[in-house]
Amino acid sequence: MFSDKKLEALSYIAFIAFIFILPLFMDEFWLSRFAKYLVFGMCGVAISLSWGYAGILNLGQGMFFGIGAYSIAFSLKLAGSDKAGGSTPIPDFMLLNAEPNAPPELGQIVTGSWIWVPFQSQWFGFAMGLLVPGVFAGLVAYILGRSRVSGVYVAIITLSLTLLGRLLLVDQQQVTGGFNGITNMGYFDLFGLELDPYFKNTYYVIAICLTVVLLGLRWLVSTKAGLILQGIRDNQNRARYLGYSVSAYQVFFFVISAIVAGLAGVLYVIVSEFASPTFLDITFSVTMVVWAAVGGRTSLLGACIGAILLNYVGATLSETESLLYAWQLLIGVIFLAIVLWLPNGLAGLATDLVRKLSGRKGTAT
Amino acid sequence: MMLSGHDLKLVERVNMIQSSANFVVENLEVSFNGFKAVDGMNLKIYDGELRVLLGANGAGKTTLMDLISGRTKSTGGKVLLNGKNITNWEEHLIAREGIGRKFQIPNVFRELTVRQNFLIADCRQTGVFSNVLKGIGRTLPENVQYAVELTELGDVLDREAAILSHGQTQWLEIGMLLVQNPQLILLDEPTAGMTAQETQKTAEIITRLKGQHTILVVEHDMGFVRAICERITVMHQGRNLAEGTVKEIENSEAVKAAYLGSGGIGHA
Amino acid sequence: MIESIFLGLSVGSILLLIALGLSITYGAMGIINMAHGELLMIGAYCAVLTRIHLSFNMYMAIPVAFIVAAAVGFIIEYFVVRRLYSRLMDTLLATWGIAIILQQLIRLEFGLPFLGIHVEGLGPGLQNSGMPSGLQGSFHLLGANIPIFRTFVIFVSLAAFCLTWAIIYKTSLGTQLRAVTRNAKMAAACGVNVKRVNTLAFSYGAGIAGIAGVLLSGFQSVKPDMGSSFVIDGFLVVVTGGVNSLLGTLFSAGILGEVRALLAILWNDVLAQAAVFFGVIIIIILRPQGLFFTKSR
Repeated sequence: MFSDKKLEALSYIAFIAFIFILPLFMDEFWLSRFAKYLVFGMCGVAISLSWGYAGILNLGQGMFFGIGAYSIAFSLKLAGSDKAGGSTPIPDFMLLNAEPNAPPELGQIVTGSWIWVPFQSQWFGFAMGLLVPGVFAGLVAYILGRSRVSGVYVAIITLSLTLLGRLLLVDQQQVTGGFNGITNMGYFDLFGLELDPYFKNTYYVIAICLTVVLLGLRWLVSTKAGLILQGIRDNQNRARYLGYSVSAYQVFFFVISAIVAGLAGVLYVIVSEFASPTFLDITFSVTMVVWAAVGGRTSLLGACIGAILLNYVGATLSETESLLYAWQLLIGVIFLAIVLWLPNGLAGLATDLVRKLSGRKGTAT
Repeated sequence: MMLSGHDLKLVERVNMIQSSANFVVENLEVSFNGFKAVDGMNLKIYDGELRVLLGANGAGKTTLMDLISGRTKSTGGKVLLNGKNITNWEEHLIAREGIGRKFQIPNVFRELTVRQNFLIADCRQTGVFSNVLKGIGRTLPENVQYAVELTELGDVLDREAAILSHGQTQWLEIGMLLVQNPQLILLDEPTAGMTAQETQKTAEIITRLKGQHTILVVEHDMGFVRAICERITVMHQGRNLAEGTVKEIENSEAVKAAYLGSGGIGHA
Repeated sequence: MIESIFLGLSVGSILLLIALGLSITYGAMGIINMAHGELLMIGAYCAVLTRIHLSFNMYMAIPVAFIVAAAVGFIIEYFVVRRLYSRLMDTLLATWGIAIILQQLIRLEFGLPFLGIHVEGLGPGLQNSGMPSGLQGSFHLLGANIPIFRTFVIFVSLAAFCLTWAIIYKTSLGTQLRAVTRNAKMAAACGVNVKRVNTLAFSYGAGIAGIAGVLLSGFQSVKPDMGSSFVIDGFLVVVTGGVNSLLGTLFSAGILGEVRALLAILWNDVLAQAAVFFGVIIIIILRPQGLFFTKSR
């Protein structure tokens, strides 16, 4: 019947086909919402890579997401802002916070606004949205790896860093828009194509990005490096005594996971037109972990589908407040059940089911 | 033909000229909270030799292995491999330099399959980028195939390592060492918990390793030791107490004194 | 000046109350209880509900909160945490799931509205617990204005600390807990009922959280998600102090509280919190065993 490999290939093909066929059946409004779910799917994939494959429970994925989001937000805000008498566009909240007698130039209007200057280029914003999370993640992973800090502490530290980031974001409101975040932006200009959130092409761009990320990471974990990474996750010491630098592998994959999260942040802002400090709430970061756990942390596609599914259902139910709470209660229960009894989530359940049906033994992955 | 003590020394000198000691431990020491677990240990192992390390519990044998492989940092002395000073290097760098270790409690990748365990043990290239460019095919590389055949684990290649029996797990670890192909192999009680049959097979596997690798084995099972051994080093209270062949050690006065009236180490 | 120092002690006392329960569940048992904040929240809701329905004042709410929170803790330990002693990392996730469940239960008023029953004091909105008139206002000390309620909180937190200390070091249950912490198998071999000890310890830690919740309700409105922000504060205090050290928790709560209050006066509250987070992260990295780590507890 179906071998594991064939089953997996089929799932990927089915999923990719599904997301590309969807626009034929959905109107722009729903499509735009679904595009956000795809972005969350990308977050699920990032978590799966860092947690399921590398064994690093990152409770601060929201931070990398947020950095990506704010980077592109800076650029898109400028794209949507007018000049205020000077030579550069000035975001509205900066005008409100302006120092008296400050020239209406981006580098001088408020303390710290010079950071915004290079973001006048959208591609700079895009690049920073991927690079800064990557560099930051590399730094964090390197420091934590060298000090051989245990898994629990990694979780606590990543969580604290995210909260720290949120505090700073809110505090420096003259540069970041503070509590309210950044709104009223322009559209991203993709080589002449304007990415209006309610435009079908925007959906396709996001679908393409998700597909590239999925296939790219799937390939990456199938290489020898991916295998060694799983060995490290299983038994760090054994890997060391074989000559592998545990720290190097962890840093590499953690950085990639962060870059994917950053890309997700960028795409999210493009499709939802706002960036907010709530991206750095504990709840958001942990919720991503919940999506990946429910979908199946050791399956990139599983985590992706888990995220999309949970968000889709949640959104459908959000019409009624108490239904929404009930749904979240259910998620809590499902999550608990998965931690206790189904570590491989729904993807694991599905694979076991298919194996049982085709009467095969063994646990080859 | 029994050699006299004088002749033994001559033979030793000749040996030293012919093959250099490629693994040297010099005055190695480590103390934990004032207790010297290893106290000025000296050891020279020659290329291709199989050396057995004997000693009572607490003599410092496993600690010595920890020090050599980098698991514990020493507080004095040196470890030299091929003349290179690798004292207190990080574990993975020591491993890359050519030291492989098998632990007392089998230490494999339990949740991965046997096949995956062997593949990871193929660590000729350890860098991230070089391994990103390597795929994993269905056919096993030659050296892995050889190890699989030698350890007779071909039937369970696609099962998780966790389901292996104790003996099979030990062989998996030894097999991985084969694949790793280090210059110096440290074996910490490779037959611990094995049946007589399993012990015999382990002796066969280890004998195959002789000559192409330098091996240091910690063991208690004297029957096993006699089957594989060339030279023995006896460790006592963190020091090198005596060295020699099985017969010499069994008859050594120093060893007998250390074991205080017991029948000597032959009854360990 | 005195006011700033006092504020630091006050912040420290709040941190201590939050961290005390965690010091037991994490410090003694290694369990990462992400639902600790929700246990706080339950304590706070006890204060609200007893005020509304039983006309209790805050003093009377304290024992109620202890019992209720301890009971919830018991349920959590018995049905969930108990299965995870061999995989402690998963306790983080499992208790987060429980935290979600507890929050939504409050928001949904335990589903009672579906049966037509509406309980005042529950639901997704903000609630208030009353402050006894005796605790309102402030008194004068050495020329400074000292809020009475904050002083009360300091006393309660110190009392809770002393009670905990006494239990751990002066009772047989405490000795058993310390034995189990060191080596559960050995303790079991010596006849200690490890399961019972673990359950009691966890419930006690939860109960303390409940008390903390009552007092916290005097500082802010009570809402279902009030607990999440405190969990991290609590863990940082425990980890900075030294996971194995009760005294360490006391000192680190005091130090972190003082530092945060002083920095808040220097800069602002937000930056002060950020700075303390940052400082603690550095401490964890450089000295993971904590500042006051002692070999013995």
